[in-house]
Amino acid sequence: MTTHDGEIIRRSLEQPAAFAELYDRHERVVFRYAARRLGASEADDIASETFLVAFTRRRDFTGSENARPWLLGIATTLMRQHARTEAKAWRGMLASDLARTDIDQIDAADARLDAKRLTRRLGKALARLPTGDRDTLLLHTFGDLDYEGISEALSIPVGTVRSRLNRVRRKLRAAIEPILNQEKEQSHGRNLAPAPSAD
Amino acid sequence: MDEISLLRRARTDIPERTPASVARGRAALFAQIEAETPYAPFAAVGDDTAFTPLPLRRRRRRTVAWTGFSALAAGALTVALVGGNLLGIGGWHGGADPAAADALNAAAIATLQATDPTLSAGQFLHVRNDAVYMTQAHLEEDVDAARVNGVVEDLNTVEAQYYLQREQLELFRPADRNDTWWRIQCRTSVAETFGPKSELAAKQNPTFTNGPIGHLIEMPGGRIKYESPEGEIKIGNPVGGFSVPGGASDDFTQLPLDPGALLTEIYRLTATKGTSPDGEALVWIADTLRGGAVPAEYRAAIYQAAALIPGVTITEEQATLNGTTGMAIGRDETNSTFRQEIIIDPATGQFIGERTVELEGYGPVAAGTVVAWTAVTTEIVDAAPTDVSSCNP
Repeated sequence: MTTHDGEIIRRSLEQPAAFAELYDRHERVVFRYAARRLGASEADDIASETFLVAFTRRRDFTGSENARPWLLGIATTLMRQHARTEAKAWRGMLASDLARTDIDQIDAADARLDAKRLTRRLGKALARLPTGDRDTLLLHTFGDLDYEGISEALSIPVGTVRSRLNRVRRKLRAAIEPILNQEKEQSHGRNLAPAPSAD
Repeated sequence: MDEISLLRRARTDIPERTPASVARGRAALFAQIEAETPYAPFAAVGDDTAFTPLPLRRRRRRTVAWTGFSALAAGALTVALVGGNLLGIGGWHGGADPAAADALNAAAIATLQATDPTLSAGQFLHVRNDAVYMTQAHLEEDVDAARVNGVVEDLNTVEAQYYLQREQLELFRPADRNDTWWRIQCRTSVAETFGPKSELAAKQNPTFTNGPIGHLIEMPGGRIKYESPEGEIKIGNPVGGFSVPGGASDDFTQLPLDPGALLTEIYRLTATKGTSPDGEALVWIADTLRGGAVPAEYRAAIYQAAALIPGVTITEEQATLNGTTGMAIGRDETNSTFRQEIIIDPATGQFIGERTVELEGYGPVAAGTVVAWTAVTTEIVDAAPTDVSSCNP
C-alpha cells in the first residue's frame, strides 16, 4: 500500500527526511507545469525551489491525500516573479508551440485552421490576462487540476475558480473565434458571426 | 475544438528534465532536510505533530525565506551585487575593520604553524558540537482555542512562546574518509524557559521526552542514509564539509587557498542565499568551521577570507562559550535582525564556536541577546562509538 502525501508530510514534521519522497513523486509534474509556462531552463529552478519552499512551509499543508495542488500552488506563486517573461513568451507564441502530433486527431475542419494566426491570437490573449486568471486557467490546462484542486492551490473559494475560468474562457474564445469562424466560412461558404476587427 | 483543448495542445513537447537536474534538485532538498534535522533520520514517529516547535536557529542557514516573495527579489539583488564582487573584489570592497582583520590574520598564521593531528588507521577525529538555540512554539490550548471547524487558519495569530533548547551532536571522522563515519545525535533538552507559559510550552514538546536519549548513526563514506516511507534507502549529502549550491561537499581541495579567491568563491557558493552577500559569506564561514573537520591550511585561508569581508568587526574581546574564552568577531546584518559571530583564539587559531546575536528583539528576547550558540571541540579517539552514553538524559 502506498503512503499518501498527507501522511508523508505529517511524518516529515517529526522526521524531515520523509519529505524527500514527495520530491520523487511530484518533481516531474511540477517541472512540466513550470516548463510549459516559462520554458525548461527557468522551470528547473522553479521546480527545485518549489520543494524547498514546500519543505519549509510543510506545517501549513492543509490538504489530505494528494499534495499536487499545494505544490503547483507554490510553483505558481514562485513563477509570479517571472510574470513578464511569461507574458513575453505567450505574446511570441508560435504555431510550432502547438503539438503537431495531435493535428491528425482533430477533425478535418480544424485541421485547416490557420494555425499561425490562431496561436498568435491565443498567445496575445493569454499574455493580456490578469495574473490570477491566467494562473487559474493554466493550473487547469497544464496542471490538470480540477476546480477543487485549483481552489486549494491558490487558496481561493471554488466559486471564484469557477467564475474565473468562465471569464477566461469567454476572453479566449472571443480572441480565437474570428479565426475559427473564418475557417468555417471557407469550409461551408457562410459566415456564422460578424468578423471582429483584426487584432 | 474549444479554447481549452487548444491550449492543452500548447507546448507539450517539453524536454524531460535531465537526470543531473533532477539530482541537483533532490540534493538541494536533502541539504534543506539535513539543515533542519535535529533528530536522527530513523527516529520513531510521534503522535500528533501538527504543531511541532520551530527551531529559530537555522542550523545550516539554507532556509528559503517565504516573506511574500520579497526574498526572491532580494535574491536577484544579491546576484547582481555578487556579479560586481566577482569583477573586482579589491576595489570598492574594503574588508574588515583593521583590528578584526589583524586578529583573523594572526589566527591564520597560528593555524598554519600548528599541524593538524594525523589520524592512524582505526582512529577517528571526534568533533563535538554543544549548541543552545531559541525555539518558538505554541501552547496546545492556545492552538485549540484558535481552531475554527477544527482547523487553524493562521498559526501566526496564536501567541508564540519561546524557550532555549540544548543540543549535542558528535561526529566521528575516520582516518580514511571513505570508511564509515559515525554520528551521535542526543535527544534535545530544555536549556532555559521564560515564565510559566514558556515552561509549559517546553513541557509540551514531545522531542524532549520521546524516544531514546540519543541515536548512533552509521554514515558510510560520511553520507547520511535516509529511509523513505516505503523503506527505500537513500543517500544524502556528505557531512563535515561545506555547502555548495544545491548540496554539500567535503572536498576542500575544490576551494582556492588564496584568501581573495576564496572569498570570491564563497560569494559564488552563497550567491542566492541570505540577505546580503557579505552576511551570508560569514554565515557560510561559521557553518563550515562548525563542522570541525576543516584542514588547517583551509582554516587559515577561511580566517583570512573573513578578514576581507566589509563590516566585520570585533564584537566582544572576551567572549565565553561553554567555558572557553575567545574573541568574538561578527558583522551586523543591516538587512536582517541578527548578527553572526565566530569565536576564535587569535593566539592559537583555535575555532571555539559561533553564535547569533538578535539585534531587534522579540518575545522575551531583548536586543543584543545571544539567541543561538555552538561550541566546537575536537579530539582524536581510538575507536568508533558503540553507544550513546555520552548523551546526558
